Amino acid sequence: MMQAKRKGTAVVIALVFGLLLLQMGIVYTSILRTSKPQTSRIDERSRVEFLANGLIELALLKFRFLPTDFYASYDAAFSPSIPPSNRNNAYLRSFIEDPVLTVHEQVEDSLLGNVQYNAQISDMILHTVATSTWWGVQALEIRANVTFTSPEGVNVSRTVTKVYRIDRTSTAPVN
Amino acid sequence: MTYRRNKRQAVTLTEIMLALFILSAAFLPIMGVMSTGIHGTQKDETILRGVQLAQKTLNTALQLPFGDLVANRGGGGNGPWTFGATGVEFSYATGSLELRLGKVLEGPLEYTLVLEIRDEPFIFNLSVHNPMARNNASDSPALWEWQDDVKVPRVGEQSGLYHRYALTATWFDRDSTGGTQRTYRLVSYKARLQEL
Repeated sequence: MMQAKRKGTAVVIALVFGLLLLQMGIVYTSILRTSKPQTSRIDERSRVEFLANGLIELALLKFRFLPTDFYASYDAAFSPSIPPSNRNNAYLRSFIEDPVLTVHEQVEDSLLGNVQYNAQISDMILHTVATSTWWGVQALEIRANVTFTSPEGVNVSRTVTKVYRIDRTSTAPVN
Repeated sequence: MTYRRNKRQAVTLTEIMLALFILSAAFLPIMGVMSTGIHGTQKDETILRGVQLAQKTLNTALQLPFGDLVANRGGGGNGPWTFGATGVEFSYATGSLELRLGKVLEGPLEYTLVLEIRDEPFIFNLSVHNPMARNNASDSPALWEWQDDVKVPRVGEQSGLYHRYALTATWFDRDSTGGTQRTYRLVSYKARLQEL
C-alpha cells in the first residue's frame, strides 16, 4: 500500500521544480525588459544636461553683457526698498523669456532615435548674502527646463540648475 | 514476492527518465533566456562605454578655453570646424587636459569620435530702463521709462561669442554577423565668458 502511494512522486517533484524554473525564467525576462529603458534613461539624462548647461551659458553671457539691466529688472520685481504694490516682474520675465534663450534641438542617433529637445531658461534668481548693500558676493541661480517626448512616447520634463558666484562691484569713481 | 519487487523498480526507472525529460525541457528555455541576457549585457556594456566616452570627451572639449580648438583649425568664419571626421586620431593637450578624437580604443572596442563646432550668432532681447528716471522715482518701477523689445546688438547679430558643440560617437556591436553600427550624439554650447 505504501509503495503504491509513492508512485509518481519523482514526476510530481520534477513538475514542481520545472514550474519553479519557469517562474524564474519569467522573472528574469521581465528584469531584462525593464533594464533596457533604464540604460536609455541614462543616455537621455546626459543629453538633457549637456543641452541645458549650454543654454545656461548663454543666459550667463547675457547677464555678463547686460548686468545693469538685469539688476534693474530684478529690483523692479523683488527689491525690498520698493513697496510690494509697486513691484513688477514683467521686465525680469522679458529678460529671461528672451527668444534666444529657447532652443529646439533635433538629435538623431541609433540609441534613442530621433528626438526633439525643447530647452528654455525658466528662471534667474539672485541670492544675496548681504541684504543691506548692493555690492558684494552674490550667487546667481539659473534654471533651464528641457522637455521632450521619449522614444516610448512619454512626455518628459526636466529642470537643470546651475549656481554661479558673482562679485558685484561698483564701477563708479571713488571719491 | 520477487515479481512484485521487480515491477516496482521498473516503474521507478520510468519515473526518473520522465522526470529528467521534464527537467531538461524546463531548462532549455531558461538557457535561451540566459544566453539572451548575457548578449544583452554585453551590448549594454558597449553602449555604456560609448556613452561615457562621448560624455568625457565632450566635457574635456568644453573645458578648453573658448576658441582654442577653432584656432587650431585656422578659425575665421562661422565654421563648422570638424575634428576627427576622417577617422584619424586628433589630439589636443593643454597643461591639465587632453582631448582625443577620431579613432579611440576603449576596452576591447574601437570608437570613432567626431566633434563639430560651429558659431551661433545671437541677438539679445530685453526691456531697458532710464537710470535718470529711476533716480527720480526709485520706488516706482513703472516710472523708470522702460523701453520694451530692445535688441542688443542694435544692428546685426553678435557672432564669435557662442559656439555649438556636437559630438558623435560611432562603434560596431560585437556579434557573429560582423557588428551593427551604433551612433550616439551629444549637443552642447559654450559661451566666451572668461575673456569678457
